[in-house]
Amino acid sequence: MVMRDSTESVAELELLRAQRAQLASRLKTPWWYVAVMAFGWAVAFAMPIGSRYLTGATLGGSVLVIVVWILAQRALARVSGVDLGMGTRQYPSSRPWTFAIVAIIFAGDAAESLLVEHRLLAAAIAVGVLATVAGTGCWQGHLRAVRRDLEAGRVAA
Amino acid sequence: MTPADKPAAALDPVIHPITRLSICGLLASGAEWVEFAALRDAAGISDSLLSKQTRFLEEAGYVEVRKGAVGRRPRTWFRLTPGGRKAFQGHVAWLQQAARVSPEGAGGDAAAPAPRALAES
Repeated sequence: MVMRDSTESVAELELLRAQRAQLASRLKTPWWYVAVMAFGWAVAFAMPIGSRYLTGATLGGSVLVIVVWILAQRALARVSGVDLGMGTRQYPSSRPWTFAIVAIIFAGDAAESLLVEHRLLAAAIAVGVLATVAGTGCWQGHLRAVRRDLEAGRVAA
Repeated sequence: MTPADKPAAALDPVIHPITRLSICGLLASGAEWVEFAALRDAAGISDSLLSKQTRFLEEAGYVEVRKGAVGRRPRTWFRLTPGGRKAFQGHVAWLQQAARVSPEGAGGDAAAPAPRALAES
């Protein structure tokens, strides 16, 4: 076994921690990314209302949301130099945010559909706006959690 | 990772030099791919040193390289291979063991920060 001073090892471990923090700080989201994601959420929550009046709104809206999401992720990776990949299951701190996002999607969609069925269009639009704000906020929370996991090196293998 | 899957704590001569340790540490932080400039800035090293060390790590089978371009500007992305990740985890475990062994005089350094969460990376 190689003998070495323990302070040297501590210093190296601390250096790795500081460098990870520096890398994670590059993932701060620019304004345009937040705006694009908010647009994606708005399209997603416009679908229950749009499908009532336009045929093919659900399919077209779904495709648009997926395209917007993929392009936003790619653009963020290019700008930050840190590519998180398409799945973010490996970040344990982001899991509660993922559950919150799924809950918002189902609750928002169900509430809007119900309101549209009862011809309460204004209320359905208000729910859509609220769900868009909540979804965008949760996505930001999800990315903050990913940053924290990157800083701590707390990633599932 | 179960205890049985945990790599044995061992000094890895490929990762041991501080520059390569930094590169592997950054690539093991959780990002799928890290771009050349981001890696260079976070590690605080020059372009030429990063090129040299990543080539060494690639030849050792620890790092995978992906080349692309944004417009006319070439972009190079790096990630750890499964073997490289395992070797890094083993090396960090060795570092943590070494950090816990307090030699006379240097021991009990309360000011030194404790290594955090690296074993999980």
